[in-house]
Amino acid sequence: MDRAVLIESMLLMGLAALGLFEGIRLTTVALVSPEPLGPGWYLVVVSGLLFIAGALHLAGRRRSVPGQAGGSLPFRFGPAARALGLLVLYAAAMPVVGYLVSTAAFFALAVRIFGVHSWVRSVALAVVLAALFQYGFANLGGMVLP
Amino acid sequence: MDSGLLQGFLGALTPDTLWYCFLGVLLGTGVGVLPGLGSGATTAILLPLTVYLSPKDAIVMLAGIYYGSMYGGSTTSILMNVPGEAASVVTALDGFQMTKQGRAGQALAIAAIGSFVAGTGGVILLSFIGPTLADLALKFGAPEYFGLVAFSLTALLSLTGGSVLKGLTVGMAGMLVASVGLDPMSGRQRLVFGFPELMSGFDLIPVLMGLFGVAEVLASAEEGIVSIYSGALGRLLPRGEELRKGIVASLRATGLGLGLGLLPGMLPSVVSFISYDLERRFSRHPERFGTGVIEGVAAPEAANNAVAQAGFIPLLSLGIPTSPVLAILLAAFMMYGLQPGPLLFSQHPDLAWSIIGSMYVGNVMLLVLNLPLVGLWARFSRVPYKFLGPFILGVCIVGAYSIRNSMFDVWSAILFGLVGYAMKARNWPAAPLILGFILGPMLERYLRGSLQMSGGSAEIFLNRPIAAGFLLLTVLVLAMSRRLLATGKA
Repeated sequence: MDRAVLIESMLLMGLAALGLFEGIRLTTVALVSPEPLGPGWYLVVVSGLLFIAGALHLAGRRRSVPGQAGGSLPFRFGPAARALGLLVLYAAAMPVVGYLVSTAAFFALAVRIFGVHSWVRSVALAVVLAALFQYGFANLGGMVLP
Repeated sequence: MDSGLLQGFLGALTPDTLWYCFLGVLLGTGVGVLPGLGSGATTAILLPLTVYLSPKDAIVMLAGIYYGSMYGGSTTSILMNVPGEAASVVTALDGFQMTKQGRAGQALAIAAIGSFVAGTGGVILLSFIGPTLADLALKFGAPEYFGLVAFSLTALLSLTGGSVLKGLTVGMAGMLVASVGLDPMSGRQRLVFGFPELMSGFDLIPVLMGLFGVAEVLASAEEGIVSIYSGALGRLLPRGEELRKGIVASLRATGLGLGLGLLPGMLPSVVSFISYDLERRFSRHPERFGTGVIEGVAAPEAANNAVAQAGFIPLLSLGIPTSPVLAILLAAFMMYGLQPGPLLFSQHPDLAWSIIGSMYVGNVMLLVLNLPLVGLWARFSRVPYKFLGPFILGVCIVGAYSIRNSMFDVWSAILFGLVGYAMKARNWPAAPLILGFILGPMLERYLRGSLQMSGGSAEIFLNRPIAAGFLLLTVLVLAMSRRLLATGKA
């Protein structure tokens, strides 16, 4: 069986199980203002349907050719993984060093990942972009940035 | 009425009003382009500043921001697959595909033309039969809304991208994700599991930024693309058969958007999904939707602008705002000591008709402003991706943060970026998740509200003709799609 399909189905059924657990818990909780349909039943129904869908996905692929369900992208983590890792670092750094510095660092490294080879060019671009973003969103847009 | 409309146009064509109308549509377009900076926030920020203006100029400018943002949101949707507004999500499905085929100009142009068609239709409707339609809209209660939302969910079938099971699964996942946080009716925590950050739930914009923007950039990075489109740009404007198809789709979507836009709480994003579904059903080649068909851009753009225009009907004729932005406009009216409603036209006819006239002028301005820029925007698709990719990521992150000034939203965008990338890699459609995310809470709210009204009896949905009609329509659509459901392929 296609391992990716197994993982997909497990993730879906796992998410559904969380919803089912929470929905059932909420159906047993007394409400201050009782209502015919409390906050739990909707979760139970949607999660139940999602669980069934996950199971159908798993069952359906047991009969298919392995790899047939694959998408057009090779699901390997190359530049995408580096870009994603950089985003995580960016988000972690933003509240610590502030928006301007973290954004400049982000852009400097991001353009390298996307193919700019010169460090000088990367840093120059990063500084300009970060300054533009800071000015555009904070000064003109009135946003309060970290 | 004819002399009133003529007076309205004369009132709208004064230099001051023209200037503030232009400023409004320009600001609105810019606001729509920038993800996260919604028309609601912009209108609220500018409201106190408009106290220095005349009532007519203030309201004309604020209205221009609203319908201008509807058009602006389509620009980034089409060029970068990053919806600037929730209402532009559907536009990205075919719009971005058109950009990848070197047809960005045609996509942007038809979005402008479709918006203009809808705006013109809205003004005509507002002028002649507005109050009558607004009365009909007042008959909608929770059961009717439940029926309408249930019907809207059938639009999921048009977004499945080849596998109905995958589409429905993703839609349900969207409904579940939208449930995270506090239940609005009972205040109970749902799917929070002790994490205080989850109590406010996931916001739509960071989910959009991640699922569409971040995911697209990650996928492009992995593919190593040099630019979104590297060939010679084709015609910038649609012509002949393509233009005809686009205008026909715009007209259909305008009718739909104007009708549904009268309903309080009816979101432009929901109507854009419904219009896309409708257009696909009307098409002789529904399988081409999602690959870059012009109707797939024209219909949702016309629909969301039509909803924006139609919202003015209950506002001006009954004093009922149908959206948060229109509620701010109502506040603007009250700030000037004016009460929108039946008496507005009799007590302040010059003001009321000038606002209507300025909406038409504003729509002409949007067309004049944006059509010449189509060529410039289209060239955006040829910008080297080594610069464009990081730029888009930066916009997505700041757009996500700007909603609630919360790092949680930034992390949400990154998380959904990873989810969106994985979905792309495995051929799972992303749009149904957004539809489920938007419609799920509405469905639950109206269902629970209806059952509260009836004391728990489901007969309420059968005893009310409009609700029963929508539910019947839902069943009919599902029945007509049974071949689709049986084969599992769209």
